[in-house]
Amino acid sequence: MQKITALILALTLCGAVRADEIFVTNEKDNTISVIDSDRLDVVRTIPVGRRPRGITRSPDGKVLYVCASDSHTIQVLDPVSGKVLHNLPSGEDPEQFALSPDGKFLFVANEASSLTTIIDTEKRAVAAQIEVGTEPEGMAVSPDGKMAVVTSETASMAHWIDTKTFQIVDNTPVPQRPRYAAFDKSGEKLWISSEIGGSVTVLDVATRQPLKTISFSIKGVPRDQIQPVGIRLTSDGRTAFVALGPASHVAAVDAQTYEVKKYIVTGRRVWHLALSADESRLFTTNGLTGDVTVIDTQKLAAIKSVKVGRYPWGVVVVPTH
Amino acid sequence: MKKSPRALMILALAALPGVLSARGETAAPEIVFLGRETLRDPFVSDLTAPPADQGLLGARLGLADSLAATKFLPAEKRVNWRLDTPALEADAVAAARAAADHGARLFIADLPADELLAVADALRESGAVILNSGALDARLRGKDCRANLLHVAPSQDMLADALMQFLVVKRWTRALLLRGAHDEDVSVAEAFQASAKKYGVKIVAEKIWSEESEHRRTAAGDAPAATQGPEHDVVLVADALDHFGEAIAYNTYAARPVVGTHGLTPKIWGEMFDQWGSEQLQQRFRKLSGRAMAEKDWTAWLAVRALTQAATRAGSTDAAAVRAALRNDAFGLDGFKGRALNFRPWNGQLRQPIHLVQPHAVVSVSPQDGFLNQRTDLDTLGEDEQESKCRR
Repeated sequence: MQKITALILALTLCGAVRADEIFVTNEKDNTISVIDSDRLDVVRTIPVGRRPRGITRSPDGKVLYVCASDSHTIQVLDPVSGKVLHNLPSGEDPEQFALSPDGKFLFVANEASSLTTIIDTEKRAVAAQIEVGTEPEGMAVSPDGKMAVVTSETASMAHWIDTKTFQIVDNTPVPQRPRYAAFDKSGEKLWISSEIGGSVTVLDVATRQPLKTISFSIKGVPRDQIQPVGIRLTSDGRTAFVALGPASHVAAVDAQTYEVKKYIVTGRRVWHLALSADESRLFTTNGLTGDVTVIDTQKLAAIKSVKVGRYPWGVVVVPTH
Repeated sequence: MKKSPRALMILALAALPGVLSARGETAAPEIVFLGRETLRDPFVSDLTAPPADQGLLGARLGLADSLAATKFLPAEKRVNWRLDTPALEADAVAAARAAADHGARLFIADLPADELLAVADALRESGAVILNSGALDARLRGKDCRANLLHVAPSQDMLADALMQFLVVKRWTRALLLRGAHDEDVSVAEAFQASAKKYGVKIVAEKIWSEESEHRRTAAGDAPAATQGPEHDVVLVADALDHFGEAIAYNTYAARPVVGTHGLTPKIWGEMFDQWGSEQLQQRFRKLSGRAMAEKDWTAWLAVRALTQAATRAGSTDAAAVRAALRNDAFGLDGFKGRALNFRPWNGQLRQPIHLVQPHAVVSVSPQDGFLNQRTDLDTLGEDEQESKCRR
């Protein structure tokens, strides 16, 4: 009886949730773990370059880009075969990046050399290199493709880059150690997490000034262990998920009122996040426990923890059908 | 936690190429670094001696990081920091006074305790603020504390507490103490003893290492006898001058781990520590200096970062404003130790995690889980407010 129930449940889930594959970079394994969204288990492990961190996919989902930081390259992967198709000239120590909405340019944070490298993905060539603050990290491109933002961890600053001229047009100081930047769907607001500042700053894109600083408080967790890193915004503009690092929680924030709706327990040292294609699931990379927490975004509750490789870092979802 | 011996003859750190003071700009705000080359104890091999220029190179990286940050600010907010590294005469007081006379008010000092106090007292009237990046002496945070002196370097007792917490977690709570006969060894041993008492580690015996014999060649012969004693879980070594500590591990009478100034060692900064973004800091330092980042490089680097970030926060490079910003409870310094760091209001000591290091790895970081304090677990390391003798 139990088996039949489980089978029906599995079939129902198959019907209800679109099947995705979740690609997780394992920083200290030089691999990518691929999780099947139906089975919620690792189905493949793909060898990649050294110290894989940032990962993203092309708009059509046909290729994946992976920062192989210690190989000083960006690898372009076929998500179906898992094969490396070719490498891109990324500049030294690529860590995080963002793709322009048309998929043409990759904006790369070169952490060790205080540069942003802009790569033409079609020509497979460097289009420009821009000097930015020390330890560039977070990277985002506006939905209209006109503006790129890179955060410098040591300068505690967001640099605004005009994507036509590849010049810095403005700099906005933010709280200490900005780790991640994300535009909302409208492109009117930019969310930036500050790891040591312990907060998330929401900037008005038009004025490039802060609208709101969101702070966090979890019972039983020392304040200085709350270190926001990854951010994911739902496309309905209602919710922002913020990974809180060694606090080992994800905060679900109301993206209108900026109030925290709920704190959800994850594995240890949660850094980066990805939403399933239908946004029903959130996946988190937990570095110290080497796993991915799967969160139900409606119930705002963790439903499973999936063991992956050592020090999972980045995560991206690829719809398979 | 080894102390670097300093010779009586003073080797001055002359203005090095690249140090901005050589350009003679006077309008830019200045940070003065008071330190000397670390002299090698003749007893210690060149192969293991600490780098002579530790501290100075850390300060220079701090300056580079700060200038890199400020250059993206609008022109009116940009601060063209300079680092001045004056040559020190017989004592540092003259150099400190001379710098203050031409307007410097922000100082970093890597000096022995008495000299540091003399500098602090000489600069008192000027309103200068001094960050201690070198001296570990607990008294500087206690009965000899000064209002114009803040400590980026942790105290000896914070280092000792970090180790003792680890021993408690491991349940290695019986320690055989083996110390050298020098004053420096005694002060380290006293810190270990006080911390052992605080955290419930029992010192089962205290033995003194004799330097009579040529122990480096007969370590296998001397160490077993020196580590023989009542039943114990660890051998706790207090050898501040690095005269015998390296010879103890694997030469003990019983098969016991060695901890203290040698073996598993509490350190301000582990040069192989790669967590919390520190891989980038370590690599940046290596690129600048061609060597690993030593403990005092980290403290001097962080001291420069503290001053420049406090100035940014205060919107002023004036010493009083910088000091107020440094002492503000909301000030959080990014030391690449995974926590926002700030100063204890009662004695001006920077709160910070301590690395527990063996030569090729950071074994653990204290405070250990489960050691609690009403304010922050970082206050389980070193003297808490109610125990502090600092009155200023």
